[in-house]
Amino acid sequence: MDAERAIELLPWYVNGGLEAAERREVADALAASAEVRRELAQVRRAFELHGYRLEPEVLLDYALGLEPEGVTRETVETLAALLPSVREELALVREGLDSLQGAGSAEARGAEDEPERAPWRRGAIAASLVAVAFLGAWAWSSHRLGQRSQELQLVRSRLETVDSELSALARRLEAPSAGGGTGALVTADLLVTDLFPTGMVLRGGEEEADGVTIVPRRTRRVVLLLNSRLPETTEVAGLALRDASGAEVWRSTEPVVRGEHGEYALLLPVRELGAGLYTLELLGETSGSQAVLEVYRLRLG
Amino acid sequence: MHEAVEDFIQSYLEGERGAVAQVDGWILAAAKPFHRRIRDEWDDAVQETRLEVFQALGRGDFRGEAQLKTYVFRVVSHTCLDRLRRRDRWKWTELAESQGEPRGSERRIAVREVPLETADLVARVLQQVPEECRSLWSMLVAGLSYREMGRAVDASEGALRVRVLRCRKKALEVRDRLVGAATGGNESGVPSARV
Repeated sequence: MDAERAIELLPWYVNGGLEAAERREVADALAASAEVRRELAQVRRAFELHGYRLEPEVLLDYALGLEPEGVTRETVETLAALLPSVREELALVREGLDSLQGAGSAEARGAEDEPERAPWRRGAIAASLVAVAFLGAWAWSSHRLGQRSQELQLVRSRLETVDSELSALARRLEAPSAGGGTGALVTADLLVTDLFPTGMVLRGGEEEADGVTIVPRRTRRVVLLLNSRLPETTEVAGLALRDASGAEVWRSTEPVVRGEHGEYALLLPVRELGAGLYTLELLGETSGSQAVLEVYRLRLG
Repeated sequence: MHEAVEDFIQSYLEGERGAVAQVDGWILAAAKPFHRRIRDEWDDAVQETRLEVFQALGRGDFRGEAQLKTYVFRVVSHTCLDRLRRRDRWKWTELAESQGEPRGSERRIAVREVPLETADLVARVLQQVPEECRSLWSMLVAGLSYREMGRAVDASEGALRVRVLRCRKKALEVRDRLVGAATGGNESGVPSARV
C-alpha cells in the first residue's frame, strides 16, 4: 500500500473501521514511512476535536442548572448542538435527573390514576403534533446554523407558532387555553431526546429489545428524535401514538420529513398527555399495503 | 448538615430497609436512561454505584452542601458516563501498533482523561467547520467503516476518503489559526491554550 492511500485510510485505522488485511497494510505503511506517522498524529488531533467529551462534572452542573466550572453554559450548549456525543451524554444525564426527580411523585400518584382527558385536549394534541412536522425537521437541521443564539431565537419563534395554534384551537373548543398562552414562551424549556426503535441493534452490539425511553413531563416541550433502521429511500407516510391499552391517541397521515442524520423528529406536547406508557409507530407502505415500519416505546413520567 | 439527613444516612448505613430502598430507588431512577446504551453492563454499573454510595456515605464524604438525592445522582452519573466512555475507547484501534508496541498486544489506545483541547476552543473550531465535515467526523468517532460511511452519504469510497482528509485539514487549520491568533502567532505547541 502506498503512503497516499495509507494516509487516506488513517481515520479508519484509528477508529477500528478497517478490515484486518487493510489494517495490517496501514500498519506496515506506518512502520515504513515517517510521513504517514506524521499524518497519524494529525488524525489523532482531529479525533480529539470531533470526539471531544466534556468533563462529567461539567455535564452534571449544567443539568442541575449550575454554572459549570471553567466552561460557560453557552459553550456547553454549543458543543451539544455540534457534537452528537456531547448531546447524547447530556440527554442521558438530564433524563436521569428528570427520572430521579419524578420518581417519588409518580409513585405516590400512581400512573394509572390520571383523569380521563377532556375531548378538546385530544384536539390540542393533534394540532400540536401536526404543527411540529416542520418544527421537528427544522429542529434537527438547525445545527447547520452554527450560532446558538440564532438557533434559540428560531426555536422560540417556531414554538410561538405552535403555541398560538394550540391556544386558537383551545379557544375554538371553548376550553381553557392550552399551555398558558404565548406569554409563557419566554420561559419555555425544550428537551431534545433520542428514541430507538424496539429491537434496534445499537452501536456497541447490544440490543435494545423492548426498550422504553423515559420522557419527563416536567419539560414543557420535548422533541423526539426517532432513530430508525429504515433505508433513506423509505417514505414514512404518518405517525400513530397509542396509549398503554393500545388505543390510538393520535394519528397523522402527513408525510414525515427525515432529518439529515436519518432521524425523524417530532415535538411531543408532553403536558397534554397523561403519564404512562405509550407506543409511537412510524407508518408507511410495504408491498403496496400500509404497515408499521418502526415502533418506539416511551413512558411519560 | 440537617439532623434528619444525618439520621437517614445512619439508617441507610445500618441497613434499615426503608432507607436502603429509598437510596436504591434514587440510584435506579438516575441510572435508568443509561440502560439503552450500556445494556450488558448496566447491572454492574448499578452495583458499582451502590457500593460507591455506601462507601462514600460511610466515609462522611457527603457534607450536606446539596441534597442527598443530588449527591447520589452525581455518583450514578459519573459511574454510568465512565462505563459509556470506556465502551467507546474499546472501539478505537491499537495505536500502540504504530508506535513500537508488539502487534497483537492487548493494550488499547487510552483516550486522555484530561482532554488536550479546551471546551471553548473546540466549540469555536467546530462552529467554523462545515456541517458536512462535522457529520463525516461524527461518523468516524462513532466507529463507522468507510464502506458504511460511503453508503450513508451516498459517495464512492475514494471520494469519501478524500473528503474526510480535506475536512481533517480544514478543522486543524481552523484550530491552529484560532490558537495562533490567541497567542499572537507564537503558539508554543501547548494545546491547552484558551481562545
